This record gives sequence, structure tokens and C-alpha cells, in this order.
Amino acid sequence: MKEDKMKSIKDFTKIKDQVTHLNPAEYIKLPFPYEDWVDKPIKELTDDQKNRIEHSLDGLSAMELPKPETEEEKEELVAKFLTGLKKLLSKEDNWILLQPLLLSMENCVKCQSCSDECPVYIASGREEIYRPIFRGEILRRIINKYLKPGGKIFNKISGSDIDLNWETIARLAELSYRCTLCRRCAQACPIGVDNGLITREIRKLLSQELGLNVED
Amino acid sequence: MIALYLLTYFSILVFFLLVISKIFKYATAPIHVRWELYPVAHEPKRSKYGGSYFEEAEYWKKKRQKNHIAELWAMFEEIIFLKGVFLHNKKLWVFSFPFHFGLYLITGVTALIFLSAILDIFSISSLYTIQGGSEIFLFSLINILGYAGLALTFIGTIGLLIHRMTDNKFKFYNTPMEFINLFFILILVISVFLTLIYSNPSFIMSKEFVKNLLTFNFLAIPNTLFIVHIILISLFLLYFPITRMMHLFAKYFLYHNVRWEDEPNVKGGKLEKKVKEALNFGVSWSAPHIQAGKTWAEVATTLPEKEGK
Repeated sequence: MKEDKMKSIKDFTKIKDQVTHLNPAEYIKLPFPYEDWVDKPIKELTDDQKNRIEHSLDGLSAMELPKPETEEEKEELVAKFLTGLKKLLSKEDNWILLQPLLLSMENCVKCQSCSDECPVYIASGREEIYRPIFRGEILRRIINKYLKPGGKIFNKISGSDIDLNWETIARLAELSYRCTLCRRCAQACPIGVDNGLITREIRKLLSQELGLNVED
Repeated sequence: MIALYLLTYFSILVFFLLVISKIFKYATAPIHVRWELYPVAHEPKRSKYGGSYFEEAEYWKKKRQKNHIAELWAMFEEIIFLKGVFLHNKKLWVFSFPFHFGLYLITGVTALIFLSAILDIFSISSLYTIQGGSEIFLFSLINILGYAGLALTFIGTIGLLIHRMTDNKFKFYNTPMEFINLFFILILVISVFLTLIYSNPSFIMSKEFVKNLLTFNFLAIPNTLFIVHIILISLFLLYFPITRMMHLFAKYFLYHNVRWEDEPNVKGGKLEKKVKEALNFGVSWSAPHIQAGKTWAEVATTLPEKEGK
């Protein structure tokens, strides 16, 4: 597990360059007959791509999110994200999955029973940002701090200490596509929380409010 | 002294109001679509391999069958033994099981103390004047379960605190609230132990206090330790509903309204009616492919302008 840069969840929003650097040497060993299989190093983005595309999560880009050019543009995207988040939690705009989303967002006790079930987390060599509860925890903190009454005052004690900026949204967006939605995490959760569903809902917010998604 | 009684009434009232409002919020959430996750506990024939009634031809014409005993058994295993934690997180289960089981026992003992107080009020029996078999039974039950519950909760809480503090997997996710919850429970358990040793042998004072509460008889409590203990319980009742400890109630909905909810949407049924209502909700998502300003029914049956052309 790499912890060299990220010392707390809040660092996810603060790190200037890349949150983590993937290293194929840390991936799990494959079973027979692939024990000797060695993954090729992941092809780095070109300098031109790096200048144009958001890649500050793990150096990869699934969504090809263009980098905003100005601070105003970033602020506008953050505001749009928050508007979308409100819609995601509203009966009219998200009756389709509101009940399971609310139940999952409000009742995860972070027991980590899901972690060892996640193929992405395990296969990556237990990369912290790929833990099944990581995405949900980022979203939960944003909701608690920015949408709930008193959130900005009580965020430290309630464990919602997070800063919302464009980088956080871009990383969360990419992170929502580092999940296969297999829902083994949901199957393992003793409480019934569905982190796969939370991931799906993050994708929905990005697509339905910001028009951001992955090309088929 | 009346302030202590008022605080207790107030905390009990607020506790129930907040719990009921949370339950109401979950229970009255709009109908949601189903994202299947099998096995479903009440599936009568195919639960073992994660199958369902969808495998049957024209299932919608047949009478639904549910194995209620299997569902109750699954609930029993999950609630009492925390089966999910045992299967997926054994290290945590070692402490989580005694912690939860201890709390169940303490809740049960609280109910028994209320029962004994009510029996006293109606002079049906005098619990602590040992006169007959039933009194001895209730008296013994309160004491055995009470001490066992407190001991188990104490061990579980200490274990969970150490586990959370030392295991790296919690490092990024521990928040002050996680520790406040556990420390609060630990302090409560210690306060009950101390009152049992110094002023409340065999929960006699607890029963008397409950009796006073139920009869609005605000008698003075001649023991500071017990007063502190009552204040702590009252504060805990106010604190509980704003924490994630509410999963105690939410878990019911997570299983029954989400994971195991497999009622088919058949023509003319209740579900169809609810879905039709929801399809008339207005849409305000901003992305062009969603078509803000329309209802969900319109969104589902028309193409966005660009595509429609």
C-alpha cells in the first residue's frame, strides 16, 4: 500500500500532482498458469496529453476530462457538481435509487468487511484509493460539509473535514471508473451498504448534471 | 432533583422522536428501481445458488411463494451472531460480537427493569421481596443478564477501540465520532458497574428510579454516583440518533426494502401504481441528453432534441 503522499483523506483534495503512482510490481501474483506473467508498465500519457487531460488520480485517464483553463471555469464546475449532488439526493430527480443511496451513505460504519472482496483493490496491491469505501467516503464528506446544515462548523468532529475543489471532483470522477460495479462489496457488507451503488450514483451525477462520462 | 427527572423525560422523548423521524424518512422514501443482488433469503427454491423466481416461465401469472422461516433464520444469524462480519472480517468479529451481544443483553435488562417496575406499581409482585418462584426468576434474570451484558460490552468496546486505533486499514477513515461513540459506551458501562458496586446493588435503585419516572413521583436520589449515571444515560439517548449507531434501525430497510426486496412489478399491482406516480416527477438534471423540464415518463419516451432530429 502506498502511503507516501496521502496521509489522510483530506490530502486527496490537496495533493498538487498525482495522488498515487501505480507500480505493476505491487499487483497480486496471478494463479497458475500465469504465475510468471509480468504486466507491461502502463504507458504514460504524453506531455501534450498531460497538459490537456486530468490525470492527477493515478496517472491514467478513463474519462479524458479536459483541464479547466481558468479559476472561474473551475469554480463553475464545482458549483455545478454541488447542484448535481443536491439533485442526486432529491426525490424528484433521483427517485430511481434514492432510498438505497441514502441508506448506504448514512449507515456505513467503515468496518472494512468489504475491502478484501474487491478485485480492483486486491489486484492493485491494496492501493488505498481503490478501497471500496474510499469513493463513498469522499462523497459522504462533501455532502456532510457542503450540503448539511452546520456542516462547515461541525465537519471536523463529524469526520467530514474535506475541501471541495475541481481537483477533488476530477479525481472522484476518474475513481468512479476504477470500479467494475461487480458489487462483491455490497454482497459482503454486514449492514447491507452498497458501495457499488454509490459509485454508480457518482457516475450518474457527473453524466446527468455535468455531461461528463466515458465514451462507449 | 426534578431537573434530573425532566432531563430523563426530555432525552427519552427526543430519542424516540428522532428515531421515529429517521424511520419515517426511510420508510416513506419513494419507490426505487431494483438492482438485483442474490441470493435473497426468502427465495424458496433457489436461494442456495443465488437463483430466483425469474427462472420460472410466466412467473407473473403464478402465486408468489416466500420462505419466511429461511428469512427469519437469516435475520437471526445476522442480528445475533453478526454472520456477515464473521464471514468477511473475523478479526473484527472477535470484538464486534461480544460488543453487540452485550448491548442486546443490556437492552433486554432495561426492558426487564421496566417490567419489574410496572409489576411493582400494580402490586402484581414485589420483585425484590423474594416471595415466590416468578420473583426469584425475574430477579435472577436481571442480575445474570445485566452483569453478562456489561462484561461483554466492556470487553468488546475495549477491543474495538484498540482494533480501530492500531489497524492500518482504519487509518484513513477513523473520525472523532467513531471514538466518541465507543468511549461514550465505555464510560456508560463503567458508570453502571460503579453504581452496582457502590449504590445500586442488583439494579434496585434503577428499578426505583424507573418506578418514579412512570408514576411522576420525583423523589430525591440520595446518591451522586447514580445521579451522574442517569445524566450520562440521558445524554447518550440524545446523542445516539445523530450518529451512525442508527444502523441498528437502518439495517432493517437495507435488507427488507433493498437487498431482499424482490416483489415483481405486475400489471395493475401496487408497484405499478407507485412507479407511475414516480414517472410523473419533474426532471431538472442539466445535461442536454436528460431533457430538463420534462417528466420522467416524457424523458423515457422521447429523444433529446439533437438525437430526435
